[in-house]
Amino acid sequence: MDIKKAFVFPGQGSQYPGMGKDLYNKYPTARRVFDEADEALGFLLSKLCFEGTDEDLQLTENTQPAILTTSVAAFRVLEEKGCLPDFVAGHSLGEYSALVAAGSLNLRDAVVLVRQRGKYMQEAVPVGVGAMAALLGLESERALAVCAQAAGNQIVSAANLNSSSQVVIAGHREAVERAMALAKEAGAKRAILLAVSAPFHCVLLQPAADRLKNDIDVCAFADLRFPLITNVDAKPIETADAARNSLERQVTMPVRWQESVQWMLDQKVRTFVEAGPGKVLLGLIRTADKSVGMFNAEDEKSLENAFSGLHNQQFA
Amino acid sequence: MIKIAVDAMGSDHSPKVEVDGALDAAAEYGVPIVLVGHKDKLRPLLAQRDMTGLSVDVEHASEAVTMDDSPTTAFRRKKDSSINVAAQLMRDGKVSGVVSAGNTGAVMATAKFVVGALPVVDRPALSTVLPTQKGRPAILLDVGANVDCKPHHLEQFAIMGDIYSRTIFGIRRPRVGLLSIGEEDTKGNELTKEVFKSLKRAPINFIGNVEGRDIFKGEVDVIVCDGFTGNVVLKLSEGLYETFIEMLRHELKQTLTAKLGSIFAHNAFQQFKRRLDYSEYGGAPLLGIKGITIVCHGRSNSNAIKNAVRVANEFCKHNVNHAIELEFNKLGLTKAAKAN
Repeated sequence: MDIKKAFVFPGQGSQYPGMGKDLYNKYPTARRVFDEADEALGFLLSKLCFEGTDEDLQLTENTQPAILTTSVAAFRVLEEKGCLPDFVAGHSLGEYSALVAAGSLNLRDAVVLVRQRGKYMQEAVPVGVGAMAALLGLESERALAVCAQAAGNQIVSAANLNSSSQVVIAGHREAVERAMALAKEAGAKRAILLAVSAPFHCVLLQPAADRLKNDIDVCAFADLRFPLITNVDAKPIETADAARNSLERQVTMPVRWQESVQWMLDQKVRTFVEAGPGKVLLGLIRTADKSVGMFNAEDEKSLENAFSGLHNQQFA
Repeated sequence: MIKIAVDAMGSDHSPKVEVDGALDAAAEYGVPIVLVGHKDKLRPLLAQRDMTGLSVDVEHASEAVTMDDSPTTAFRRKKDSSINVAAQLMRDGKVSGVVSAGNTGAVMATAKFVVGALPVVDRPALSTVLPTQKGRPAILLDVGANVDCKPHHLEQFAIMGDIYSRTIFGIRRPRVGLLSIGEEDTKGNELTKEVFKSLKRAPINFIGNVEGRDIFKGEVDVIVCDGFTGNVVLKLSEGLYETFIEMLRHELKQTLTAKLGSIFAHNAFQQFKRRLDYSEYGGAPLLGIKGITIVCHGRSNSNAIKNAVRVANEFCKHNVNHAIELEFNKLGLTKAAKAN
């Protein structure tokens, strides 16, 4: 029987200096992806990925197109070798990469769109007003309760429901700090303030969502060639309208990653490939099910490993 | 059931490119095809291809319109021409759309006389798709169906172009611009100034006047103009592209360093040509006619024909004509409304 595969696409935080360079040097297909992104953006994003410093890459309007382009480059190489998924899903920004992979959004539109997205998110909340924190070792329900209790007349809410023991929260800095203290009292192993410049996936980002909508309005979207499990609903979508809708709501709503992974596992997905920098998502999937096959795809070595692994599975 | 008729006798390389393109489309999109043309010319070509699982019929037409025929004489004299027979198939409901790479004037005249315009539409418009710097195509209309236009014609073109962009290109709120000679609403001629006012009120994403140089920048999705202007723009663009390529080719042969350079830049040139390749966009739909008629370039290759069939199929699938009728009725743009 054919084993069902899902490709997952990383979000912010997975970037590292030099990412994608090996892809660019080894695969003409990947090179075309970077060249196209450079041209669409009007500056050398490729150079930023390959030679930029941590600081360059941390600027969110750089991070977003950089991760997307690296992810799409890895995907295109997989595709060229005949590796295609049954489902795709992406974490936050990764949902854009997943839509490019699914043929719903073209690369040129996508890189420009996520650069704007980064800019809008950054500008929605003045620096220092918002914050994000990871709560580790606390169940989702407890984390939500902690947020409700800590909010007061400010905002703090779940931003990423990543796994059974990892929830990222976002909101006003003081409220986030209150939630961190409460989380520890409630039994969290750790509460870590994240080095981000804005509070993503909470209602403070409504201005960004409004601005992004105008950009999405004038981008071409097509129906998807494979179903995508959305961040906002943890359910599959296949149409252009649903894709736009999901991207718009995503800005102010939590990423329901744990449920998305569970949905795919319930559909008998037994192999996950993380296309793009890092292995963060595979780590989260592992906490849900240790027995599934996992491959990352970010350079020649990992890709070759993925090809042979996927090939062996197919004929096992 | 959607079925598309392909006029097999129209293009410069007919019927080979039509047959290949139509069969590729049948295979790739699963759309049933009727090839219209001389059966003795079509059968041998079909015999060379693997037709397993494809739904392809041949409809015989003994005559073919040439590029030299005038539109009206072609329509009156060549009763059994492939384009006439294809249009009749659509009129009689046997196919949902027609693709032709034949004589543009003859195709338009035949579509108008045989099939007819939608009851709500005053003037059908020929729309074309142009490549842009941003990579996304821009729609230009009218490019030659109506040389003289009234303001309300252009208003109808804008609405049809908006629907075309939304349904076929998947843009939710396409940016619609009016082709003029300056950005300010006071710039232009009597026609554009009048149209500017009505488009401002129209429920579309009207971004105002655009100039000729804006067309290829990718900042506007639908560009509206009268057919005279549109045709000049289209022919000028094609001519400029061809001249540019020829001049470049000539210069690259002049010196050894240029020759060497051109070898190293070969991939870039190929990529450049690919981006300007009209054949990806699938021809020019004649908007506002019953059914759907797609006019392809006389120099079409099989890829252009294949993509035209794809677009025709999508037009039918998304029921673009129904969307046009609904929108025109809603806005009171219909002929009947104006008579009152």
